[in-house]
Amino acid sequence: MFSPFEYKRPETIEEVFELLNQNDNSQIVAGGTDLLVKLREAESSPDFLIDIKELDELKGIEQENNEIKIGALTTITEIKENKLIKDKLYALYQAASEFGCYEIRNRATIGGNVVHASPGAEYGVPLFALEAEVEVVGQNGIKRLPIEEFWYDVGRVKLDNELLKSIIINIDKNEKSSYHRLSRVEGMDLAVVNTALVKRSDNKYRSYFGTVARTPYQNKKIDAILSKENFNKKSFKKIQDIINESVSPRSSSLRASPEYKKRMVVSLLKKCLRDIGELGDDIDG
Amino acid sequence: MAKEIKTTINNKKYKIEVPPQMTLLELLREKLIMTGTKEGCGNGECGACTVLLNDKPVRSCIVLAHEIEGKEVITIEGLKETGDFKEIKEAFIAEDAVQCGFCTPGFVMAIKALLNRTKTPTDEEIKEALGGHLCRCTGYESIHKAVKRLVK
Ligand SMILES: Cc1cc2nc3c(=O)[nH]c(=O)nc-3n(C[C@H](O)[C@H](O)[C@H](O)COP(=O)(O)OP(=O)(O)OC[C@H]3O[C@@H](n4cnc5c(N)ncnc54)[C@H](O)[C@@H]3O)c2cc1C
Ligand code: FES
Ligand code: FES
Repeated sequence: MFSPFEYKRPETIEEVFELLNQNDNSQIVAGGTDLLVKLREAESSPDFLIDIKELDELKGIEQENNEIKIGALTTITEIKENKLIKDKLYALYQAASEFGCYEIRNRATIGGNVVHASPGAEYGVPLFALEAEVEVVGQNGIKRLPIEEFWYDVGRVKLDNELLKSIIINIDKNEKSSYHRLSRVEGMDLAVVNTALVKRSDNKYRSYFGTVARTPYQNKKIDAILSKENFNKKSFKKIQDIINESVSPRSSSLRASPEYKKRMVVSLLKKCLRDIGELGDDIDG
Repeated sequence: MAKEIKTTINNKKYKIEVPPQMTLLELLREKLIMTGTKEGCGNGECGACTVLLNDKPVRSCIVLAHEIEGKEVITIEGLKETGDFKEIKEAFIAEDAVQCGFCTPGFVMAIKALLNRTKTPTDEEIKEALGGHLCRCTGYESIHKAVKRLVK
């Protein structure tokens, strides 16, 4: 058993804030697939657990004008099975397909994944590449901020007695997207490295690389090369050089060496380009 | 502090005192002495503890017992009373899909959930349903074949 705590499952957001205010050492739980593992490993020992699974305001996937809004409590299975996501935000569908296993996908939420903010998290690189924004709800109302401002370090997000409400993506700006990851065991391990690529409506590219830095990593020079029209084999050499010079993944990683990671993110980038249909057969992956 | 919860386990109604920090797996094994559900990793990674919560397979080692308030749980003990169990058991025997048997209750619950979703799962769907279940003995092939045997 975990060390003792109290448990409540409020039905409204207001109740959540009341509970947060009354209890100093409280913790939010959604699907619990990160938190319960942490509790067992005694990395976290809250006095009070606030289960937000019943909050309908944080659920569902909707399109409003040119934006798709994904509620924080949306499960990975719901993302995988949603037609709008598969049609318009393919990278998010691909990330759901790679995520954990059947039972985990049924419980794990996208909000929990973002708030947990682990370097190889499935919803790091694709949401950064899609220039997602997050909606945060606090006692004084709702605010909206870019995901790279919200998720600012390993395991750190900007929340102060607040809840992540939803994730918002503009579908006019993002034309095509792709996501790939490499892991030691298919499904049941976090990504060793991961990469997402977005082709924007103005034909510019945005690429992000995971686990090579503390947060999803972007290099504007790489995006400039990708966005040039005469992209060719030599371009990958340049991209590899930029990666080699600009990132230094920590050597204490349990999953892979820095050298391997640097090579593999570029290899995954090729896969993403191929998905988006921009890579001829002459360039091998 | 322990609090009383009302729930249904294997079609039987329960009112039980449960401390909030107890997992569903602990409730089943240690309080209700339903030891058919196994604990392997205790961290959501192996699938040995799989039970159905409102018909969906969950890993009971990472579900709090309090979460089943007002819901329905089916464990391997409950399934054992049904015709489906008999069929799955016979398929496992026919394909030699059990060796030490530790992973078997978890696999059986995942297979039951799969067959609830579709009577005719494809190879891909079988792999998706069982992909997160670890077996140290069989090499998986025989378990996959047992499921195929159930798909007519
Ligand atoms: C076996 C296994 C396999 C896994 N495989 C993968 C994988 O392949 N890829 C991957 O990326 N992850 C994986 N994970 C990690 C985990 O499942 C994900 O990070 C998941 O998305 C977390 O969501 P959750 O709802 O379960 O979070 P919880 O554990 O409920 O919460 C995580 C954290 O976020 C906070 N939180 C949750 N929701 C909100 C909210 N709306 N507002 C404010 N705070 C909130 C909680 O307080 C907690 O600190 C795996 C975990 C396990 C056990
Ligand atoms: S014991 Fe629950 S998944 Fe291993
Ligand atoms: S039969 Fe021994 S672990 Fe599967």
